[in-house]
Amino acid sequence: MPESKSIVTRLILVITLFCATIFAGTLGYNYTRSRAILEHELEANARNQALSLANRVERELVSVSKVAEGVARSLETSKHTEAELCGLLRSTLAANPGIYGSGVAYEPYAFSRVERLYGRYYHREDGKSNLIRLEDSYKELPYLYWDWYQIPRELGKSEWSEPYFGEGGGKILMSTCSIPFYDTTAGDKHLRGVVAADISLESLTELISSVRILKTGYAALYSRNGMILSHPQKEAVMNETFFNIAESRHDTTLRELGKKMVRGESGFVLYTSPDGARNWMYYTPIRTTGWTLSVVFPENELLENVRNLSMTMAAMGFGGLIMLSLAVVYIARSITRPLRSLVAVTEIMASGNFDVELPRARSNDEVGTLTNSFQAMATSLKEYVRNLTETTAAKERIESELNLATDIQASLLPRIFPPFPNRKEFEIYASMDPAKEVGGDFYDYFFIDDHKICFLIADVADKGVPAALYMMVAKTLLKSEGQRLGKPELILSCVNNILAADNDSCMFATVFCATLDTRSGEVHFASAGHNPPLLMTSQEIRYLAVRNGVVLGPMPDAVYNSETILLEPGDTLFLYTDGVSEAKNPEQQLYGEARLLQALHEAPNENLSDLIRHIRSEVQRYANGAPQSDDITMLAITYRGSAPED
Amino acid sequence: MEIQTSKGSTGMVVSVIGKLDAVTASDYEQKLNSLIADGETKFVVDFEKLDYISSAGLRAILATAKRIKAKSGKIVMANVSGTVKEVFDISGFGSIFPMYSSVASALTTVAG
Amino acid sequence: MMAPIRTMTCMARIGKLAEIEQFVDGCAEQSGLDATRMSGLQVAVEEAFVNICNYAYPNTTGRVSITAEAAGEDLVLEISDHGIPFNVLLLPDPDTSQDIHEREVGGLGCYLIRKLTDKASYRRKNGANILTLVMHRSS
Repeated sequence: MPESKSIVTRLILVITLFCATIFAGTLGYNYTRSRAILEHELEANARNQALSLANRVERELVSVSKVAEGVARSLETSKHTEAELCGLLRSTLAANPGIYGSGVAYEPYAFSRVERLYGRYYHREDGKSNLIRLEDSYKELPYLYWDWYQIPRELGKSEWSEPYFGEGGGKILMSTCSIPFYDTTAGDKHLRGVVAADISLESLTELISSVRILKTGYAALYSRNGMILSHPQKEAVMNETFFNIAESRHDTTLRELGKKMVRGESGFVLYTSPDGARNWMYYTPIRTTGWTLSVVFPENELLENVRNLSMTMAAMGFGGLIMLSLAVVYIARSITRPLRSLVAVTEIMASGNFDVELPRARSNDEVGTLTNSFQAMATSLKEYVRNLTETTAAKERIESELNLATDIQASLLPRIFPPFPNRKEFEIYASMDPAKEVGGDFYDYFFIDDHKICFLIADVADKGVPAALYMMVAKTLLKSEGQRLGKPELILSCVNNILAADNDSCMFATVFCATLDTRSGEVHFASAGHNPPLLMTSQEIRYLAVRNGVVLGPMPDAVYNSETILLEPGDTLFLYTDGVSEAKNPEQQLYGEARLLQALHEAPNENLSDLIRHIRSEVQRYANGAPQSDDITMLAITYRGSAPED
Repeated sequence: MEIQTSKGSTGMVVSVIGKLDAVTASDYEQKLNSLIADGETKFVVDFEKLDYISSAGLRAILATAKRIKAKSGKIVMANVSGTVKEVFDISGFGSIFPMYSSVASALTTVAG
Repeated sequence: MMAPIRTMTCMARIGKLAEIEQFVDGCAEQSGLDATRMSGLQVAVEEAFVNICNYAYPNTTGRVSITAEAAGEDLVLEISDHGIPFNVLLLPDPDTSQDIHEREVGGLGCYLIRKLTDKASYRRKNGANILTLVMHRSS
């Protein structure tokens, strides 16, 4: 059934689409918010980690510079002998295991007026301290021109050198803290020399490279110039600078970042590595040396939890949607299934079979109500059809009985023509065409005696069975009284009195009754309210002037007058009922006496049957298909003259 | 570098002697600033004895000239020649500052 | 016959400018450059040195070295430092058509270097910025 399918499909589509959209929206929002929250937390988190690492580094560096500063101050405050100086340096070394070497170098002639250059340096070697006389270590230039001496000399303050690989004891990454010390006697400041302390950066870099962040996150240390001091990629250490890397990747953002780091700024940035991975970096300066520490958080690892959660939620949502669809299908089916069976039942009923089994209402909801109503409707339909069938059957029975009655009634009227073939004195013809219903028109003719024939035409009021029954009674009475009494006026008054006696129903009939003397052609006639007949002579056709008495039936003791005319041989009397003159056409116009007269003029007068048939066909032609509302009854009699004497 | 000043008929004549480089430029600027602070508004800078000028010197000249202009004053150059002229021309200073071949003619212009 | 290479190093401090100027004077004299072009070279070297002092060693100082060599017809000067990567030639040129009101106070150094020398180039090698200035001795 296409209709039911589409309800189910529509429901599923709409519901699952809606739910999917809502869920997707919620999930998307959840994901983005979680991300945002995580990133926000991440900055704080990253900052803390970076700062704590930076503090560790600073602490180590500061402890060394403090030691060197201590030495410098002590050299400033008092003059030392060589032994004192060396002792100071040795004890400094001994007391500070973090310091690899420590030394002092003097400005020309600042230590001794005799020796221009003087410098002492102690460093660790095989568990002992090794002395180096700096003035002997020329290398390319005297110590005066070395960076660790010149720079603090120039700047007038302490300085940490760029990290380098120390020569004593293998390739250890070192940095030197050098501090100038002055002679403040005689008013102004003169530089006396520079104190230096070397530290190995091994433990620091070890510390930093051991930092684990998520899975592949790390911490890194960069020098003042951007040189990599500590990094998970060991090959890059002291080989690459931040700027090299930016250069090789053609990454201007990285270069700008490098500049910021060199400037000693701190910040939190997102950068993309060449393999497309997004990383969050927090960088902070090591103030003491001007280095920069950074911690790197790979974004996808960061968001891994969020992603996993979102994936799980998506999977759950998807599963939920499937289950929802199934539930929807189930419920929709519970609606469409009874609907479908109702549709099937309806179709069976439409074909006429009302005895089909209706589906039972299974639920108490709208569908159940529908099924119950359907049941009620089917029952009442069945009842209705049964009633209708009975009524129709009854009606048909009545109709057939009525038809039967009409046939019986028609057969009672004399229909054999000519009725008296051996009597040549006259010719008589009559016809009665009943209307649809059983009517009340009749005619009759009978011999009263040898020479008198009585003929009459009558019209019972109303139609239907009552009129027919009345007609039967009237006809019988008229015939019996007619044969007894022989005079029209007497016949009418006698029959009238009989009818009026038992006339509860106020039925009446119009009657035209006449007698013809076959020897003379005398016609006596009397009329009870009937329309006057037409007389057709050789000269003219005219309506007979009739003094009408009251209609037969309603009132007893009615008086009827008899009138007489003389028929010449060849004259015809044409009797008719108002079914002829009051025949209606579709425009409801009556045929009328004038037209009847005209028609009689034009009618063939060879014989009476042709004449009457002509009039009948004329009336039917006039009626033009309009239903016949009254019986059309006509009787014509022609006098031929008396019979020859025999 | 040395700066000698003398009050001319119509303005202050500032003679710059020696080199106007990164080290000496600030001296020039300082001197002129104090003159401006003293209320001088018309200046003729005599470059006759200036052998050398670098961007630091140009910067100082421009900075002080802007200050003079801000006080609705006027500054013109005299005796710009040699390397100094070349540097002036390259840096477009030739079109900013009116240059004259003598202090006298410079002074007459500055008056107007 | 290869002319000797002269070198000097000093700290990147403005105070050392006189030393630098002296050194360049000596080289230029030896190379036989005419006076105007020598002056121009002086200015160029000063600009380079001043920029190194300002930008190469932020918050600290460091070494600057100048090497002068007569190579064929040219006098080639190399100025190098170990500071942060910094190419003085990349600074934008000033708009020399602007008038006094519009003119910016800075930006002339690098422009002068390029205009006063026959050829100026920069490279970075082994952690050092190296600026090479070339002056053709003839013409």
